[in-house]
Amino acid sequence: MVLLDAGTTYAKILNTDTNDRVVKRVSDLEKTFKADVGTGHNINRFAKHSVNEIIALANAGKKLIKEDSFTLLDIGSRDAKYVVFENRNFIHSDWNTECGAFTGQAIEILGNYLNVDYSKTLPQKEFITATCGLLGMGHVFDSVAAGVEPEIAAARLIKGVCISMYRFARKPKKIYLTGGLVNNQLFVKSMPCETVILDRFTLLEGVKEYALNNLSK
Amino acid sequence: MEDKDDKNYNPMQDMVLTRHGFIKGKEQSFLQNPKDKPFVGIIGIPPKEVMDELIQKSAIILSLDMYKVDQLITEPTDNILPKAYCAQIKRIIANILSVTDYWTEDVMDSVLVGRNPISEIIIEDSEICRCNEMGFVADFIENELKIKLRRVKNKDIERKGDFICKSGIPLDEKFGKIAGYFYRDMEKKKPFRPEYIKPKCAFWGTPPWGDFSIANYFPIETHVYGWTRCVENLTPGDLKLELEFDPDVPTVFFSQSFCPKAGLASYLANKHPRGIFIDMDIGLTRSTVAKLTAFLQLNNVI
Repeated sequence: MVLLDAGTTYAKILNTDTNDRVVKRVSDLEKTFKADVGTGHNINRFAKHSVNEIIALANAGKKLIKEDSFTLLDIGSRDAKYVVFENRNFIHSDWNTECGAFTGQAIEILGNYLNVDYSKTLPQKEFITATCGLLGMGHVFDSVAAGVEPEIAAARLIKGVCISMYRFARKPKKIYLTGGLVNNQLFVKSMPCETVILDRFTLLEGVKEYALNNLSK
Repeated sequence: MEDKDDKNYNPMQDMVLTRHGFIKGKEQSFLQNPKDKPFVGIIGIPPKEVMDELIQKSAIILSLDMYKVDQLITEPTDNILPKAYCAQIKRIIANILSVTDYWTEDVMDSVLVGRNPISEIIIEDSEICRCNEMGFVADFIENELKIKLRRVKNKDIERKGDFICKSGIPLDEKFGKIAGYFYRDMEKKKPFRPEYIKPKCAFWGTPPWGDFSIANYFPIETHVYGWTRCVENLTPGDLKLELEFDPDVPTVFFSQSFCPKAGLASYLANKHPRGIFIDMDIGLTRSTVAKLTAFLQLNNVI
């Protein structure tokens, strides 16, 4: 079975028979590509069956996280969503569907534009708050124009995004984090609470659960 | 062709709410000839004494909140209101402009020369009412459309009950029945008191003016709270009642985007043990539907 998480920017593909895992840009997916089942913003174009992103995230959390109570946060290039479980029961979820969006994408664009290597940049205490990635980029450019080093300005925006995401997820003591930003070491180090990394294929574990329970019958 | 099984079905589309109840299609033609009767538009829920006065005058009363000509409700307001503004206020202004269509005149020309047939608009402008944003654009009605404007305050405090809010009627119909209840009371008709149903979840907020089809995702066992419940009680300024919610059922705290009530909805959603805040501008987006249905599914509501 071929599973697909087709986000706004990146596609994560998992072949459950061979366990092959591929990450590529959604724009590089062949037009004829059809996964058996999947999730994500662009899924309707590329899969026979689709699963609601939050349902996939909740399924994945229940399967992958052994603790009874946890917060699982997924930060994509366009949006962020989280689920909270207590004593293995679903308690809460939220999804910043559009507003506050494009943070992940903005961080990637900014790094490329300013030529910042996030793996070599130290987390900052000061932070830039911004409603969305585009406004945040404006603040970074203003800071650089005012004399702040580009990597420091970018790191301050990242710190701001981390604080914003922490508040969005209701300030838990510990966050399980998934999504493209798990590969950004500066982002992970800038999180204001204990942060446990799950890989970018996490949502697909939830999709697999859905497929096993609903499509194989 | 839309039907009731279609999730996008919008029962309010093409419907006009008047004191005669909801009317549809050609039946609207009676509005074309108000003759010598006053033709009065109302915004919000005016107090009982004002409505009694209109009944005595045999006025034709049009609810500008509910009356809707088409789905392109923003187009006529593009040069009047900012783009980032409450969809419902845009609808009200568009409704006022479009009433002129019944006289087959060009809308803007007719309006500008003061030939809009509405003789008076009564706006409920209480300190705590459905909305203060309407108050800010009321000058436009008076000065540009040349329609007499009367601002009234609704201080009615006698709660008439919330039978519809807590009944097993589908949520989209609840909104319509609650709006209709206002007119039933006005005309001294027997109150509509459907049977109570045990709730699986709740909807808190104003009616979803931007797209009523959101109601189709809720089960019939949905109780209604917030301002909509205040309307059924005929106490739209009853903030104490508006703040109430049921902590024992998962609750969607809804507001229109750009509505001042969004602050209240967001606050209460955080306070509720199983609450979620959802806002919506014009038309449901895929993301909003996904967020809503995931919330209802994960809480075993649907």
